Amino acid sequence: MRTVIRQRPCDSLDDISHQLREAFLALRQAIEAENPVVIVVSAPDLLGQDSLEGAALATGLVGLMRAATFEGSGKGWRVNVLAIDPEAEPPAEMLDIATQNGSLNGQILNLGSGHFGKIVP
Amino acid sequence: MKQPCALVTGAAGGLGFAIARRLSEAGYALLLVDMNPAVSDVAARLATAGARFDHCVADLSTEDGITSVSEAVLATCLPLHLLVNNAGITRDARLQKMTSENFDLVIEVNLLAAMRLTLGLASQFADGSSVVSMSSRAALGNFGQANYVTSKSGLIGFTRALAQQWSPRVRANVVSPGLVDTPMTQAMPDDVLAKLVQKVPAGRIGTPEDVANAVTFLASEQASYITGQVLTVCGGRSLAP
Repeated sequence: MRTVIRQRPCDSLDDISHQLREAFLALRQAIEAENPVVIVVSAPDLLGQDSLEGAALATGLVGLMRAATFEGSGKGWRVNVLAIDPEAEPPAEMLDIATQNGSLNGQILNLGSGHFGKIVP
Repeated sequence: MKQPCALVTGAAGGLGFAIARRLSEAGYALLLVDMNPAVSDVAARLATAGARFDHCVADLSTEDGITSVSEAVLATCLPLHLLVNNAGITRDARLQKMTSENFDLVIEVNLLAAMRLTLGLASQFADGSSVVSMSSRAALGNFGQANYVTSKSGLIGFTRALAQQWSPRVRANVVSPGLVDTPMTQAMPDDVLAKLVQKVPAGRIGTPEDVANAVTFLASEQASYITGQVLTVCGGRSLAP
């Protein structure tokens, strides 16, 4: 079993709060169930290329992933971020890699088409 | 020429105080904001000949608080040349023990309040002004701080988007301090602090002035081609093993 947490379109500060809380609770539940986690975010939002709210949410979710990895990598928790174009579906094989590769943890796997030549999020 | 005006949130804290003092030295008039009424004492301590300090006690997590600050800007700090989003809190706990209330609270104060204030002041920024938001090296990950790390990481995305949407009128950047000599680190046991300092390639703990210098630089004309970036002030800790 794996847990996939997915960023949804976001257009208000209340929605940022709501989606971050949902992700936090889902992540904690997954950890308790010993499930690996993939957080799927919008790749353009990581670079702030869309809305202010979406960008804050996407990078906030990256922070949540990093905090969980920092705290739990020694306990076997596995959490990664998959960044994709907003209209795309996360490819099943990438979800497999993100959850089944033993050494892959705390990473951003970026499948977005617009990140070449940009900063590393 | 009229003195440029800067608004600093979280100004009653050690870091806010250092930032305000350094900005004053750089020639800014200041509006100091904090929910702690002690901010009035800070303003009084900083007041020197030729410098101008006003203060506003406000809770930035409420609409009333934002309105109070906006009114204070209109009264004392117009047009605004610099906003420093420095207010922040911690409510640390291991992820599995952290309550959703404390998760929400830290997100609200550290991330959403900064966004709300910045957007609420949008029309009051001068051309060529800037926003500097305080993140943290902890945005790269830290133990027992899922709420704090999430909030400080979210500020980075907000800043990246703000930089693109408000250019060329307003620049937006982030300062991410590492281990800094503040009341929080002073409260650590000596041996714990010494171990943390050992991991800093610069070989010392950072000072509030190190951080204040970074803020002042990003706000300055010397940084006029820098926007949407993160300046990590951590003595190299974010690279070291």
